[in-house]
Amino acid sequence: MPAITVENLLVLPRVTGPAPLAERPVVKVTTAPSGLEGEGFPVRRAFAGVELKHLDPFVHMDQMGEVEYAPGEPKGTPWHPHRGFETVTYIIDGVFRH
Amino acid sequence: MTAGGGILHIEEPPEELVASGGLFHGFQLWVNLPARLKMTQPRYQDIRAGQVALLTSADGGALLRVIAGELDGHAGPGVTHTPITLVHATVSPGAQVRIPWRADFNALGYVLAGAGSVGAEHRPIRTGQLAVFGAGEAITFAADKKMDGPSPSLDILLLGGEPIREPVAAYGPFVMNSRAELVQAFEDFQAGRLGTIPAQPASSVVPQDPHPGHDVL
Repeated sequence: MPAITVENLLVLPRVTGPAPLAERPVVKVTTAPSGLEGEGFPVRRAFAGVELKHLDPFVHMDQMGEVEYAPGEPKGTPWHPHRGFETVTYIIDGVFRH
Repeated sequence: MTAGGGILHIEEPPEELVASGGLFHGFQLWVNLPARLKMTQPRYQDIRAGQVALLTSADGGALLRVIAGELDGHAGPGVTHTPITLVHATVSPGAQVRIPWRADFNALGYVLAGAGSVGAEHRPIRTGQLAVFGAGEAITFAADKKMDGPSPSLDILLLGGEPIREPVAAYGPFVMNSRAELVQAFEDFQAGRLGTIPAQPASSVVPQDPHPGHDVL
């Protein structure tokens, strides 16, 4: 993955293990079902089946790909509206024009 | 991007990428807005790979990229109205990471690639799975010693935020507090009040900008 990487991690500031802090238990592990978004790019619905009380303030997340497109195959979305929330889009491989 | 009171947008691969094909991978997260900010002014923030805050774990076994909010006092570039922390961690095989996490935030871990475990109880987790953490002040996760799949490491997204604790009425591209507000959103969209599609293709109305859009984070 070409997300930003660093050759020598030891030069970075360290987040030290917070020994006296209370450990968060794992309440559940769910598996994201696959689907299609926009004009048909493959996604995983990360939050499917999880109650809102666990997600709040998040409402939805799609993992886009990972997919190896053949020439002519890359897809996006048509023009569409949004209201009432904020999005954070993170591209690890490839380009999305927005 | 803050949709707030309403926007119209398009997300598409550039023409040269359509022609060449290639690898595509990422995610899109929706962060809710409280009732008092539902109709706020839309805004957009473009963040490049070089802007994220880079940290490592106690033993140097993981790269922690702070995309939004802050981790252990280190702030990332992404800003949302609702306070959140969003971290993309790449964990070397066999490495374990324990990080502080704000007690007033919820805590989730989603595996983008690879396999490992979550929690002090070492619950197994792999690509495409989400861990929901309970109350507390610290999160633990670890990468398997040997990766079976194509990924050489565990890539996990850690995310949490301040709960809004309001009713949620969501349908398609709208996230509101009530059904009446959803109906209003549809009416406003159909009346063109969320914007109108440019007559020209979007690519030809964008000025001569060498970086048109958010790519390569």
